[in-house]
Amino acid sequence: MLKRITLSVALVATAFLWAFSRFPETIPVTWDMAAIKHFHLPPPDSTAVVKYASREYYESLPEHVIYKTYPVYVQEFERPGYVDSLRTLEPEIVFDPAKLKTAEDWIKAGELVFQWPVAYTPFNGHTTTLKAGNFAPGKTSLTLDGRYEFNRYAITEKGKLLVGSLSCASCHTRILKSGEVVAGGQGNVVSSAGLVDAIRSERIPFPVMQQGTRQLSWAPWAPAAFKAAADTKDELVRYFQAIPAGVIDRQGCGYLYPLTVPSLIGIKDIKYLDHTGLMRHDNPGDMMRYAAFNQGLDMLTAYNGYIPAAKGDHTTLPAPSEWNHPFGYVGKRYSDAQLYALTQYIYSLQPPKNPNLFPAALTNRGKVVFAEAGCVTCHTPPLYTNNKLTPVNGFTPPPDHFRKYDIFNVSVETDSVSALYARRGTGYYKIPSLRGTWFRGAFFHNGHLTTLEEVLDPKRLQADYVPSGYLPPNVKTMAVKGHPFGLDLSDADKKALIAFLKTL
Amino acid sequence: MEKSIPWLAPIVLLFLAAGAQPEPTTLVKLSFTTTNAGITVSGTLEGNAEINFNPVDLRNSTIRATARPATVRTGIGIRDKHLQKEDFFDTGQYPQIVLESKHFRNRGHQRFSGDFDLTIKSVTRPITIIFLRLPEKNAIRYEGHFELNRLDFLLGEKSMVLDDVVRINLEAMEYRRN
Repeated sequence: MLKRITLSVALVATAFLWAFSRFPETIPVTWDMAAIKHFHLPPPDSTAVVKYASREYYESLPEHVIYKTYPVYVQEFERPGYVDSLRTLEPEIVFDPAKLKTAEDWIKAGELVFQWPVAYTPFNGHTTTLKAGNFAPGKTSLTLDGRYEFNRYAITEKGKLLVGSLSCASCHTRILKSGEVVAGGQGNVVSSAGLVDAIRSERIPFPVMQQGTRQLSWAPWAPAAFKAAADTKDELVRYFQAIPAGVIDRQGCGYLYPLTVPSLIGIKDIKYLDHTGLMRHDNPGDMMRYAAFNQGLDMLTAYNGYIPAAKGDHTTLPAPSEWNHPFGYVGKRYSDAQLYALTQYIYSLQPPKNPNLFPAALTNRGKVVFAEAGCVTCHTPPLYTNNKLTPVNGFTPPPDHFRKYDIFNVSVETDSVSALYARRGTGYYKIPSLRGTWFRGAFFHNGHLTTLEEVLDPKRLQADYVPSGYLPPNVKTMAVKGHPFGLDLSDADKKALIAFLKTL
Repeated sequence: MEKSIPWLAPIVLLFLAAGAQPEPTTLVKLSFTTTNAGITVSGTLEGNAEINFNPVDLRNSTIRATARPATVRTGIGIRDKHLQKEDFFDTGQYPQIVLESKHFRNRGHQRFSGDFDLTIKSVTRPITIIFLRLPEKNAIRYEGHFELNRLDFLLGEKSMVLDDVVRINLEAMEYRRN
């Protein structure tokens, strides 16, 4: 009998070890066209046609080879000889799926993908040109040891240094006031100072910037009143300068309508991705597809026949080896293994330790206010979102959407432009999770607001309001409308509600 | 003057007929409560009632009440708009809630019970309402309440925080003609 039990235990243990040693069992196929069509929500204009690059085309794009990367320091912190010392190093390929055996291995490898830049500029200098003093205070954070996390040095050839940018980490890294670096948090490390300087000095000619901006932002179904590029160099400069920490201008958002960067922490439980719920998130394969599209492949998607990254008249895909993102992406794609590892890393992200300490009576009262004010209906615990989409003003969900999607069928009446007239538009906004609100600094879709106090301030509804976050370059004041919940609470209840929210 | 008599006759007859069976004036208050995340939330609806209730002739008594879900008020404007959408009351398609009596029983001490059909969004279900009939100086007050499962009437979907059970409070004042 004892022998039989011992044998059974040994068999179970062997099966267990075998299963984990073979993690993952299968890597999802990223460019599965049926899955791509299923996970995308359609544009709000039902006559619009979105066509994705074929699997054959996708797979013919060269894959990223991921090398070891190195931090970029600002001048004030860069040790003498640092840059030249990097040129002595051998290029080191660090992502090798054959070596990944355990879940932990995949997560660690995913961090490398997360940090791998997809845009590169050769760097021939002996010391960085970045200076802490050039960064606008409060807009760009550095680590305590002076690292500028938006960039990494990459060495793909001995002796040649590349300054890389636009990795996942470039936008999804937050540095807290304590100096703690929060991977996956709402980013606050981007500086537009270099880009602004390039526009001002015409190092990048303005017509090129105009063309690039249009490629990034034009939605064929948007009314002509919504322009897709700046009219003047000065306007473009002021636009980039107006974008605060935690907000970015990215491909597919409307020109003058930058988007708040979401926190990736806890995203495994979130059913829709993007502010507009553009893509469903049912499984790791969907997260892989999201990363593939957002790191370039949406620029190779045809929107009513318009392919942003195509050449000439923007109707024909470029040859796989020659496509280029207007702001420097190389024409490469991630491998399925890289995307799978990235997904495992993103799923593993943890929030920083919450330093907020409030009296229990205050947070308990805040919890009651949270329910009384109706917050709980949409921001339902434990995720603090009900994982649904709300239609925006100007969009009526077609009947079949109620069967296909999770719809909370009322608009909260926030600005609807990003949902209606941008390529990422779906006619909806997703209900965001309030977890981790305490370490965010940009609120509402376009980042007009920077604090919870401001979100609950009824003054923001007035036309003469000056929001503390993003203010478009051509206006001096604006009302930040919508989401009126809690505006008429007493000061005491607002204080309690905010305290409660900062514990989440 | 004499010519006017034939004109007056039907008017007088109509007046007398109205006096014989006076149309009572009723004021209806309709409120509801449920719990959301453990917190009681409440709201009101506007409605009307036709009350033909005689405590000594229950067999021939009738009550018909209607409510307009477009008038729902909960204190949160956007919530009120949501309650009017297709997933809740669908007021475009179903502008009225109807409560119609079938028969009554005397429970003593001014208490009665009535079996009613309640129709919301074309779903009709039987309900029983215990109510009080309280004569006052110039009016008769009716007070009753009942509970329903909102999912039985296709009002929203199963929720982690919003209770299925809704408690309805009805109050009607039937004013007597002097």
